[in-house]
Amino acid sequence: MNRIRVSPTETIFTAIAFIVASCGVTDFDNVTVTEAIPAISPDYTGVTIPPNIAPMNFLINEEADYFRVEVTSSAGEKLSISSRNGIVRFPERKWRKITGSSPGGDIQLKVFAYDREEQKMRSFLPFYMYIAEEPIDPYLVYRKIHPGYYSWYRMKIVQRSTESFREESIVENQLLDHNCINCHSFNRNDPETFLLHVRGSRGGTYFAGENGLIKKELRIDGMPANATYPSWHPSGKYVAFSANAVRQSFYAHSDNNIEVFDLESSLVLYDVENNSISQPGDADAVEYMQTFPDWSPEGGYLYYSRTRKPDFEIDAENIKTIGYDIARRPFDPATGLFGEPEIVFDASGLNKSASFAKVSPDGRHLVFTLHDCGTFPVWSSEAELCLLDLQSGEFSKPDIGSDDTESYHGWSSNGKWLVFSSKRKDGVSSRPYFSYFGSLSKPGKPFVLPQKDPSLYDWMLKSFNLPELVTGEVSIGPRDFERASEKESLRALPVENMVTPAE
Amino acid sequence: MNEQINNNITAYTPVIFFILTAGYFIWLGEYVLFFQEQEALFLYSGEYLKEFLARPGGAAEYAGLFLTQFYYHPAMGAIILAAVLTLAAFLLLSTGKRIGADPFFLSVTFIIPSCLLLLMQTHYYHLMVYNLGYLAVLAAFRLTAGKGGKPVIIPAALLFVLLYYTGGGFAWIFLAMCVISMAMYSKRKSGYLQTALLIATGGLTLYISRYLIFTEPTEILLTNPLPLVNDTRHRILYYFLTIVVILYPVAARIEIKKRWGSRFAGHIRSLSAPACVLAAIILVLTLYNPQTAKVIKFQKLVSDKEWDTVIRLHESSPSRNLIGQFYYNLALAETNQLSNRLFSGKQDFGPTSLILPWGDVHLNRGGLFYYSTGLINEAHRWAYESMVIYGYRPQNLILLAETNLINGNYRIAVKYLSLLKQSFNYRDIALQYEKLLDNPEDVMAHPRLGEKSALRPVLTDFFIDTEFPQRNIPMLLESNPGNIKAFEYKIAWLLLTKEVEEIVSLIPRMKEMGYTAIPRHVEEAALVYSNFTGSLPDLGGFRISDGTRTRFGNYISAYNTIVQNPSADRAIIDRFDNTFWYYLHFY
Repeated sequence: MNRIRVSPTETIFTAIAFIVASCGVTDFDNVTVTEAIPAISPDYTGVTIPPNIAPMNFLINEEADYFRVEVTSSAGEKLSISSRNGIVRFPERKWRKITGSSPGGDIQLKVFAYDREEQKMRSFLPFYMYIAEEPIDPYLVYRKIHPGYYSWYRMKIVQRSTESFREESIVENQLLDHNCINCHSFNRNDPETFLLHVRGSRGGTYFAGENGLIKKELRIDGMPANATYPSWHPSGKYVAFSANAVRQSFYAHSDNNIEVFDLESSLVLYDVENNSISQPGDADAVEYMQTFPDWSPEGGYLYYSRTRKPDFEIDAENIKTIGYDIARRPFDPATGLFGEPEIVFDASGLNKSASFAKVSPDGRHLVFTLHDCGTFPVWSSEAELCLLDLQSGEFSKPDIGSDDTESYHGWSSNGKWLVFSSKRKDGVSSRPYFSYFGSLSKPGKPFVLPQKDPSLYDWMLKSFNLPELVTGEVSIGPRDFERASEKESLRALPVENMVTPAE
Repeated sequence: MNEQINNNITAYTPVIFFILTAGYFIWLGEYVLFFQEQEALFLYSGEYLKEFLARPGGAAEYAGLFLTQFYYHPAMGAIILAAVLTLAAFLLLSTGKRIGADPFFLSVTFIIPSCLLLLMQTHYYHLMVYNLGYLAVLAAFRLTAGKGGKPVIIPAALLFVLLYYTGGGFAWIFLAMCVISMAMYSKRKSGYLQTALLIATGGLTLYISRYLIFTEPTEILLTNPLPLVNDTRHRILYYFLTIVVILYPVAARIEIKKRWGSRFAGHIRSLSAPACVLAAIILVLTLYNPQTAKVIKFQKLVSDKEWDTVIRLHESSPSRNLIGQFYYNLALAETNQLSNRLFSGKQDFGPTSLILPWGDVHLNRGGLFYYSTGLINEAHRWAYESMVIYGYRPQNLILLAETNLINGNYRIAVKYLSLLKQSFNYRDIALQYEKLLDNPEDVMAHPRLGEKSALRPVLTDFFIDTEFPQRNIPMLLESNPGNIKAFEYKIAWLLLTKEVEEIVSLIPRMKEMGYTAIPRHVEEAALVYSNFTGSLPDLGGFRISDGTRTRFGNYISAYNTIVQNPSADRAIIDRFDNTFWYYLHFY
């Protein structure tokens, strides 16, 4: 390690800082510069962050008795933090001043570490966070659950401010007989219009909207299972669901874990205004299993994953032959009728499978999860996010992945931020990561949702499931769900036909 | 003089109670302590505490779990438990003196709540938090009680709110004590107003909790953590104790001595409390259930991996419980003795006691079958599901750490180890396992983890059959043909399902599996086969031992005697109850 004399001004400044921080440490003659940036967790070095993000607290994983972090924004704002245990927590107001002053610029973070025994101070090379001009939506909604297997006891869906550390429950299952709650879905990031499912004794799909919170029973005769994965039509008039008969199996071999697959699945269309539900009876629905619907932003197409229905009983070996492609069908919102399907991405042709198609708000791109086989990539370590240019058909893998699972994802309302689940930290628990998509060819280095306690991801076992960005605070709370659950479900009515023979 | 003796007896009664209670839980009721210590893991961490502070009564639960961790050492646990139960008597004495209770009544009855708590404590689901809840109620009343027996309104209201937050549902018992005492001793209008105010405090507290603070169901806000154990006897004791506590301040002021006359009062006064303790101890001994104690003792031995002791105990004094017999079979499997010794212990449940079915009831132990046979992923799943449903428990966290170490998932193993490190009793285990992190060679060299690792599926992968778990055994053997434990379980399953042909079809594989002789029960099956078909099966180069042949001859003779003469002494056949033949004919 090179020992370099630092400038007298810097030495004096740092010494004063350390005197304050370290109660009586006065000798700072022995100052060295480490030619590396410090090891920190979460890894926030070189990340691109929104100007309105909560303080990016982190933990310095270096040996020292005291630390000092000097933050300087490109606009000249300064902030310094001292820490005895390596935990760096930025005061919210000062942090906001730093980030808010430099949209489109950057902030430099320089770490100093002091070893009391050796009376030695080190300074590390500075690292940077780049501040995008576009803000991120102010709330992130996710489900907090233990990842995996059959059982649950407590689970809740919460909203977390992305601008601060405030987290509030939207629904908690102990008020709903501990039943499973899942698949929250917002209409174009709108916190006032959303739905989620509750299973079991308080079962139903709960719709939040202008009329408050209403429990509905969407399953009608002929549906292979309950309405499962939803997508709101941008008009708010429809919701497309896939109805999935899901099976979970557990691998015996140590390299694998769980396989979740569908025995049956098909798309259904729910008309919110008329409380009616229709099922396609065309060849696509008969020959294929369809799942994970997602509307284009103008509502003219429904994208989804599909695979030909297997004519064998699925086991640990033959599931490797099941690959889902991404297809789409034109849709006429006026009539509620679909046109003929077309393949958008032929994943099975690559011996792969594609899930969770999500069209960007400008309608130009589609992000999906590519994995080896089957329909549920959450437990597939090879699962990665891919980008498809819907105009040119060009397919790419943005440099935001890891060796572990990247799966569920969603766009911010301005289309500049992608939030996605990643298990890169421990291989098991999913965490919400954000990546800046100012330029599609070079998205920003992802960063995990900052926490007040930056070590939280090191010990927390629960997952942040289905992260969804929303443009404001959800006003409905757990007691609202409890009240709604005590009422009778509004039963959806069947509609005969939803398919046109041709577009 | 007599008064002095009476005072001495009153003073010594709690001491006697303490000694007898501690003694009981050291020598007989130790299983209750072990069971409860295993039910939850107390962690020294802020996050752990935060979870408890998020609900009314959580602080009492936290304190209860703090004390329960010392049950790990039975003597220490028994002393703590006895001290807590005895403390109830002192609190009652102190309260009685404060409110000017009738001395006669007080000296006769002060030990009753402690005795009732002791009786309740014999149920293994009677947790420490329940005792602490009653102590908190008595302490709160002691603090608020005025000299005339009437609680002082402001401290009572404040203590109610505090007690509601810390002790949850126990605050209602305190409120009832205060309200009844106030109603009884209030002679003026202001007294009734204060009573109404106290009730209103209760209602307002519940309302604020329900609508503004906590997101718990109303039932939980009202009752957590009251001792609502699902057992009729325990429930009756709970109601009785609660009534005793609520009415105590009022009853304590009734002057009984005058009514009973002074002639017998002294004797009654000096003997009642010791008699009450004696009666409680007799009842406790009567309520002792050796079968329950045995199963929990087996559980402890299994968790300590004392396989030989489990085997010895079941064979000398059989457990008639499914779980007890499951532990016996597990111990045989861990020592590779299933095919040799399966019928040396009782097998009342057939193959069910070999592999427990999936479900909440067996979540804590069912995974041990999978761990024993090397189906590490499935063992992990059971431990994980147990953690999700029941929270952190020593055994589920240890199993989660071990299975993740075996599978090389070090990033997640470290999380479980860090949780264990935050405990008092399991820190050393965690530190020991921590050395294995990122060290696959050391994991393989570890006596237990290495052995389990070698049993894992290797050649093929398959989905675990959760509905018919026995079907996993042949799939595992196909994936790891050298897995001796799976092979032993396969034989045991076939023995317990009486599939003679299939049992003997395995004999030719035994040499390559490392057997040096045909296991005893397989020999017995081979002779049955021979008896039916007239010829021995392929013995794979082995031979049937002379001893087994002789025993078989004797068995046939005894069996014929019994069949031909049903009134003959069963002992002649029952001496063969450790054989496959006996199981085949009589189970």
